[in-house]
Amino acid sequence: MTETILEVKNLEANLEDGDKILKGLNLTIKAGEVHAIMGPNGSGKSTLSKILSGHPAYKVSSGSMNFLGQDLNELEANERANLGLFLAFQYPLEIAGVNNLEFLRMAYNSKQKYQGLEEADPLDFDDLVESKLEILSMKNDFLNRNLNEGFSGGEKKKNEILQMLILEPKLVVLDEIDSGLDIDALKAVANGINAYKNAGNAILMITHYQRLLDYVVPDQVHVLSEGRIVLSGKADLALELEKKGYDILNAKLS
Amino acid sequence: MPNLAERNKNEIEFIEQIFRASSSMLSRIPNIRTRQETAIKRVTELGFPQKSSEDWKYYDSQPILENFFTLDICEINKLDKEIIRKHRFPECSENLLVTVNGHFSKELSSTSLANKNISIIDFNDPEQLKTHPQEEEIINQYFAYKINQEKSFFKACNTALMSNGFLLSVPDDTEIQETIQILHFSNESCFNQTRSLIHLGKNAKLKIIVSYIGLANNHFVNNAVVELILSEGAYFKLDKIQDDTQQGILLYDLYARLMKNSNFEYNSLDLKANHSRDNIKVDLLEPGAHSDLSGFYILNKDRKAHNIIKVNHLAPNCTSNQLYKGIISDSARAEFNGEINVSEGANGTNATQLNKNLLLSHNAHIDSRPQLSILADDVKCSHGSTVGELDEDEIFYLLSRGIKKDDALAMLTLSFCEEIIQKVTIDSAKQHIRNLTLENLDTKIHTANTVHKLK
Repeated sequence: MTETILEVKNLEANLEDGDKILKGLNLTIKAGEVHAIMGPNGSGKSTLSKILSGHPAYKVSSGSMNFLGQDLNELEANERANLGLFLAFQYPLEIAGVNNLEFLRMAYNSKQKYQGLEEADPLDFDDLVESKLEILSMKNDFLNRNLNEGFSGGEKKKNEILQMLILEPKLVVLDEIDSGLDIDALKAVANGINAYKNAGNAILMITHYQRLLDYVVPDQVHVLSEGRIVLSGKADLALELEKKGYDILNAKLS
Repeated sequence: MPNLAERNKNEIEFIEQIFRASSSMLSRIPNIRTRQETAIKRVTELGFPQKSSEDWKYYDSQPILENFFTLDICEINKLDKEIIRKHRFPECSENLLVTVNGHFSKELSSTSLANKNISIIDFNDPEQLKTHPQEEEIINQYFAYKINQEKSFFKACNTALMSNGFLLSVPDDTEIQETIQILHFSNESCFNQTRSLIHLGKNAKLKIIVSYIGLANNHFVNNAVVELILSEGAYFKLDKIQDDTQQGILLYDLYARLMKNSNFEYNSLDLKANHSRDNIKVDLLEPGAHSDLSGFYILNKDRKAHNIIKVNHLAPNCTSNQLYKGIISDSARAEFNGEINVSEGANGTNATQLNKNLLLSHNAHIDSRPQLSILADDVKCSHGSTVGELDEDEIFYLLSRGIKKDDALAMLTLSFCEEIIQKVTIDSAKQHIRNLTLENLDTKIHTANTVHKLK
């Protein structure tokens, strides 16, 4: 039987003291699967990614999120990450004065330590990073810059994927990883995702556009609307949405 | 003595003690001595600083009075060479100047300095001046500049009470490659007068890193005065590290006079003292002069740091920048009181000023007053100040990469001040500053959304 990586049941969540954003969301992701979530603006897509990864501004009011047999709600954001959950941010933050390479090593060693594995010394870690840079056609000088500081939109997204490749998570949530990318950057990012993908891990892509799905083909496409998944299908559902827009929801659901 | 009856008993006693002590502190160099005598008069005329004065509005000088101990002017004390080794930066081991309780110590300073093209003159050694006529001229011209019009009470005290500070002078067209380190130690509970005059000749270049280090466990006050003259085309970089014990009070007065096309970079790192008050005044006296003032203060517990800065554009086409950053936690307080004054005729001035603060607790306090006064045309000036908290989304970004919350907060705090630390000349000093910064960090940091407690 294939391992279940994420199981979300009847999840309801809201902003602290704010409106309900997720209203009974169900989603099951198994090892080896690629899922895509599409949906109109304001449907709760980005919120879902933040709730899964433990952003403190959101509160789960009911339902459950089970990740590799553990209740995510019981874990802090850094513990979720160390357990193997990775969120690639739609808008990665610029942190001045924090060296990119040192940051990567710190994140890597946090995970190693948490999982009871040996921490990497700087030299071994350099080798690991360089092998991943190639996959993304990134230059070495990326590493000596400050974390995302002054990076272009494409460079920031590549840096997210670089972190993902180094941390080797079990589940990746890609929040609009394709926004703001030119064709070359999109290809490099897709290369990274495909290099990461294997039978033991899983991908959840949040996107507005079909074009990413040409490069990373999903097993399942879900449509999120008003805080719950209203429609699921195969990869061709994304094509249909691209052609006809979200109006088809009304026809299909009625 | 004028009007002493109106002042409180402590103030009168304080001034009387200075009066009595000063007679034994007079320099054997006649020109210095004359100015010390004028300074004593100024001390009594000025009186202890009052809160009603704008520059002292936010500064509580009562602790200085209340703790006024014995007001002993300490002798030079023995200092273990091991302590010097601990505090000097490896890059500067051959270029070290040491003072103890305000007294310049030839024995503890590097002997190799004598081989360099720098003159170091003890303010209480008339013999030395006999062979240094140029330096004598510099002292005559610039030591305690216009003391009869001096407005600062503590600067006047310093002039009256200092005994052996020093002149450091670099001749014309001389570039000193290595950074010179100056260590000012305070190892007794007393009122120390640390004094130096730094003179750079035409096109001379010099970099200095100064540390004020308190070794005493009891209260003490280090009253430091630096006078600085940059001749035409000179370049001077000064890093000042306040590395006192938490029992120390540092009063720091820097007055810089910049001539044509000279360039002054100053970087102040307030890391440790119980409280400090920096009074920085830069006069851009001739066209093309440039000054870059920067600094950061990290305060916890009930510590205080006051930065009072005046940059005076007195000639056309001068440029100046001020960038001060602060991190304030617990019930600490800071004051940033910065002025840019552009005089009539100082056309073509370009000046900026920015003060940024992170408040890490509800009780932390900042009074930030960036001020501009412009009396010339064709001037570009900007000023501003910000007060904020650590960004919740930045914290979350680091957490989402598996980094522990305490580490994330430390990273972001260091990240906030790294821009200033990067300006420090010496690499090992940068690391030392980062370590001291982290020591001062309160882990119970308040962020923009503490309601969203990260469980």
